Amino acid sequence: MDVAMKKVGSKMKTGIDRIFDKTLQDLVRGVRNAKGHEREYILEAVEEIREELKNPKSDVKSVAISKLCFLHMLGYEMGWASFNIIEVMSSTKLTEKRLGYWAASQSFNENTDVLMLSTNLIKKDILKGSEFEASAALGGLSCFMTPDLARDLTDDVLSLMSSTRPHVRKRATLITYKLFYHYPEAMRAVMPRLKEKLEDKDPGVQSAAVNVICELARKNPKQYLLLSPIFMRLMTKSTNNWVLIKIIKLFGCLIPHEPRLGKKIEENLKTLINNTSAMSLLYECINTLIQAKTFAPAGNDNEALIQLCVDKLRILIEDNDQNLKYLGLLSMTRILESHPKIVSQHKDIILDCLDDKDESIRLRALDLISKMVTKSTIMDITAKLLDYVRKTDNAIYRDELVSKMIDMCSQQGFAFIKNFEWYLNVLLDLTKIESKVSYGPKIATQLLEITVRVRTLREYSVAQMSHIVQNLGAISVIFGRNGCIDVIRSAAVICGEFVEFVSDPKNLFLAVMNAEFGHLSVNIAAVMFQNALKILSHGLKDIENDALITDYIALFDKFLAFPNIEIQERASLAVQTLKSASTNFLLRSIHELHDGNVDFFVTLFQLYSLIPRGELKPVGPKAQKKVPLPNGLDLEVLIFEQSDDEEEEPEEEVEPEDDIDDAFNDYYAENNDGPGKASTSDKKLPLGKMRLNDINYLKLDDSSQKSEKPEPETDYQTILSPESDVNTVFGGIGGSEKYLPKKTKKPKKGKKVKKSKKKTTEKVSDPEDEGHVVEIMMDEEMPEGAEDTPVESDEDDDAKRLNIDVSDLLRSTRKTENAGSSDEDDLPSFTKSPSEPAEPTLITGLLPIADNVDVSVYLKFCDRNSLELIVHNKHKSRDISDLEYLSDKRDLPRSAEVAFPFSRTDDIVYKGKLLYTISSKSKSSKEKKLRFEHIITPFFNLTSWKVNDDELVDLIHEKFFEITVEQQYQTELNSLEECLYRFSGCYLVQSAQNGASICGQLVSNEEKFVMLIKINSGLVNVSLKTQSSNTSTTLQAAINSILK
Amino acid sequence: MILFSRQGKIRLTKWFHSVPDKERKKISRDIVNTVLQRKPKMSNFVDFMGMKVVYKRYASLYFCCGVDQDENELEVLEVIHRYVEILDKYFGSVCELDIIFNFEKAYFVIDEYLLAGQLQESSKKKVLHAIEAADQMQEEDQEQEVTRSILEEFGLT
Repeated sequence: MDVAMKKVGSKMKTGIDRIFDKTLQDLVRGVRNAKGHEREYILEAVEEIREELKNPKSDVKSVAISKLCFLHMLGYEMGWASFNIIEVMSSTKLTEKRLGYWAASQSFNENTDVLMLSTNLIKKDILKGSEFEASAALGGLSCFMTPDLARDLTDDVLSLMSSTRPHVRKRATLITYKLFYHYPEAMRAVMPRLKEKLEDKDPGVQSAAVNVICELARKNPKQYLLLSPIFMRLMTKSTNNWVLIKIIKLFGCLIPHEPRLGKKIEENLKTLINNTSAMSLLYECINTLIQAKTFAPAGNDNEALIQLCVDKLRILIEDNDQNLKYLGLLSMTRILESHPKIVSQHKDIILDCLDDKDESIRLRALDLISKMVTKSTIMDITAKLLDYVRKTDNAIYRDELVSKMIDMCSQQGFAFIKNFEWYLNVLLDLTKIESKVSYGPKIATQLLEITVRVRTLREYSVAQMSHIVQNLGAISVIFGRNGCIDVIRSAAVICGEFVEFVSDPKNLFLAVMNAEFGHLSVNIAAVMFQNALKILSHGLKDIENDALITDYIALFDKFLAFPNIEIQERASLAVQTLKSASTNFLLRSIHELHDGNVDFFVTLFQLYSLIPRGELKPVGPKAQKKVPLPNGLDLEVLIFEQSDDEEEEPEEEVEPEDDIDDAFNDYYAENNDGPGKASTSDKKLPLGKMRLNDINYLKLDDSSQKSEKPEPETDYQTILSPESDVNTVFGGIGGSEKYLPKKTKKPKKGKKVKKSKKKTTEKVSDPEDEGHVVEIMMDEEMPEGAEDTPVESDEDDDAKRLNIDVSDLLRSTRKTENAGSSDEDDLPSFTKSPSEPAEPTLITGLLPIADNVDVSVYLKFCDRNSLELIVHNKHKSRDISDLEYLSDKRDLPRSAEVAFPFSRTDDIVYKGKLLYTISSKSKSSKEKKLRFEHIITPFFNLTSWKVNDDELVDLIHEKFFEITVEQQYQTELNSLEECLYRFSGCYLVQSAQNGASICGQLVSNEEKFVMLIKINSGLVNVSLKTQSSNTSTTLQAAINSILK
Repeated sequence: MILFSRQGKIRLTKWFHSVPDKERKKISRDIVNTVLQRKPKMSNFVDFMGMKVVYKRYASLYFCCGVDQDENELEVLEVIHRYVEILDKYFGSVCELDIIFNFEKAYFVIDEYLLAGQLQESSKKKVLHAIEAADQMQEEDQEQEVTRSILEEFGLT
């Protein structure tokens, strides 16, 4: 009613009355004063706002909106006012516009439907508005970006990125992240511009671009490897700590994908660590350095750097600031995994942290400490921890301490414990500590475990335990209070099992029988009872008369009426046993007369005993090695065979292995006809060996695979599936690839190859394909030890979302420059790396150009300027005389060859004529002619540009080569060497058993190229990478002529 | 980013991802509760629902940022500190009341300082400069407005 009145009232307000409207400040004050009836006050205010929003005057509306924003912050709904917010946004006054965008940024979300109405408004504000309007619009946009808006506004943001005003440029740059997030396609258009912004002259814009790329790289690091040279430069130049942190973080993300980066930035990080005063930067550097070390190629360890990190971390931990302490410990834990020795130097300070007031710091320190124990330090550390357990009054922390302590001591099968008596005492000490938390079961298990495992400990353990059992009454009260009641059970079991060590079994037995069981849980009582029986059975051996037995029976008798059935059962068992024992007692004396060997009580004892006497021993981790292999067991022999067609029929891959287990055969005979049985010839080789020997294994199926299903979304898939068909180029070098699952493999017959060849040629310059191959190259050319890099399982949505292949767009724009020198600029520390890769060598060799019955003619590439024509006499019994080439006459004896040097011409076709006379003993001489014509391949005519292996990888990272073509040729060639000769003139970058990489630069257009060649029983696979499709075509023609 | 008082009253919230209103309420309430329970001698980082909350108390106000797990905590602390410094400069020794009554201004400052969850400008001067320039524009705007409305009042337009 009241509200309704107000409504009427406010409608009547006009002109001057408006002055009495609440301002934002009034509202805030009102809410603060309205203690107790806040809710009513606010509801009332909301009503007023509703009215005010109906007012046509924009200033009234904007005040209302700002009030609404305030209420929204307090948790009240404002979605209903979205349309009014748009109205305010479209106001011509800056104040109102700013308020409008602000309100929108607070309250709009992706589902706000009126957003569709605002697209044009935002567009207008961005493009035509003043600096402030544009910046307000961008600010709002950053909060309520939607896929639609992102799509419609990409171009506008792009143009703002080159605005002359740094402020706008900066905001536009930052907003690209949101743009990509909602509309990944935008990356294609915006990425080149974003890359430019990395080198913007305004530091703010620059840092904005760094921020965006860093954020993107955290989702999909691989793609941004190409940018590392730029970031490297920025890192050395920049003095802005904020930017530096981001760049270093970015490198941290990239390192797992390119471990060699770690080495490159090492020096820079070191300088920063030594010089910076900003803790945040220091912390970031250390973290990235640890990352670099974790992924560093094995055997390339720089201990000094880690030492530096650890020393710096010590400073952090020593600091009074809790935050630094916490982070210091956190990083320490990460180093510990790889360099435990260095960290353990700082044991003292980490132990001190256990005393810290902050629980999270204590837990961190505890975590760290428990991981750094060794044989020599365990006693020390445990003693300290025990101290803390006694001191602390925080139950959760104590529980954590105890369980960490136990874990720490028992890790790796008690590997660190030298003195088990000591450990037993530690455990017993723990039971003495008053605690509400129950770690009792854990201690009980430990006690039992060590006593059973360690034979030398048993005597001591039994002494301690029998003490517990004997004083059961008092101790059970204490244990009950300390939550360690389970220890009693262990004590009983130990006493019962190892009763031979009990000094006075009879007394112990009586102590158990006379103790009060009532307050113990049934479980424990039952165990006690059982073990009492065991003790008794052992003790009875020495009993001379059966009078005592009757006493014992009486002791058990009273439990026959025990309220628990478990106890009753045991008691009755005991009574029956004893009764029969009593009869046996008489028998025994008779038996003794006969053979004196039957000891009923020993048998009885063994009957009850759980553990076979003395057969359990602790087994050290290396113990297996000491056990000699039994005859006939060959660990190398295959148990299972992975058959070739495992892809299709995985269940059939398991092959029976007759000399291992005939039962397998039987099983298979019954269940399966064993389709793989037919091909058993190589079954008995171990998997690894077999694959090495199997030439087919390296045979690749990429051409058929690729051509059969040209996947349109290859560039999406590349990153997701880095392992691929090309990765056996250097099969001889890396190791891990061999164990990758094989792709479907079918024997290749000539016809099929031809077919696939045709198809591949068709997709010669398919740009979709290039990303694919480039990614693979990166994988396979990584240094040794890098294979272990874990496969990125970046499954989170953002990563998938932003997984657009932008590497094209990030490619270096300076591809026409001389790559050799630009490489050095980009990667300053790289060329200095100690393990300099081998220099590429010039390939020189014979190229067959003509052939007839008598002679074969080769072209020999000697060096860049001279060629030789080699003529070989094929006959073994005929001489050739007057062999004439270019009016140079020679004689050519049987099976010999002769060389005619000539200088290189620029002709594309090399023509010539050979005249010769052939003669033999039987026949008269005969004059013959041989004409030859050969197209000179571009390979003869290259510049001396070359790269080494590492540089090549860098070039490929930069996507220096745009076009990748793969083709397979069937040739007679069988050795790699023979094949390589045909590429005389190129440089050999690296070669392996059945593959090589080759590089070169054309004279004609100065474009560079690389080739990867794989040879496999007559099939040559060439993957050619060039800078343009023209070069690609030229070179393919050349390769065709060489290999066919 | 959330600002709230010692009593757990929220003074300012800024979300850089769009989150439904209901969830917003729940998250802020939870964060406030977690942070308020922490003792002064504890470190300023809390793990919270798969993210890290970095907080810092200035006088009676807590400044709180929820960030990704792999974010540099110290950097976030610096971000908070820089924001407080900027507020301080802008309001001239800032106190909680300044933020309560000029909360839209505090938002504008954030807007200049952080954008899309990223640090936009690390230089205090530049941030202040940008805000002041915008404020000035606004004032000029308003003056014009005032003159115009006065003129309107007198029926001169």
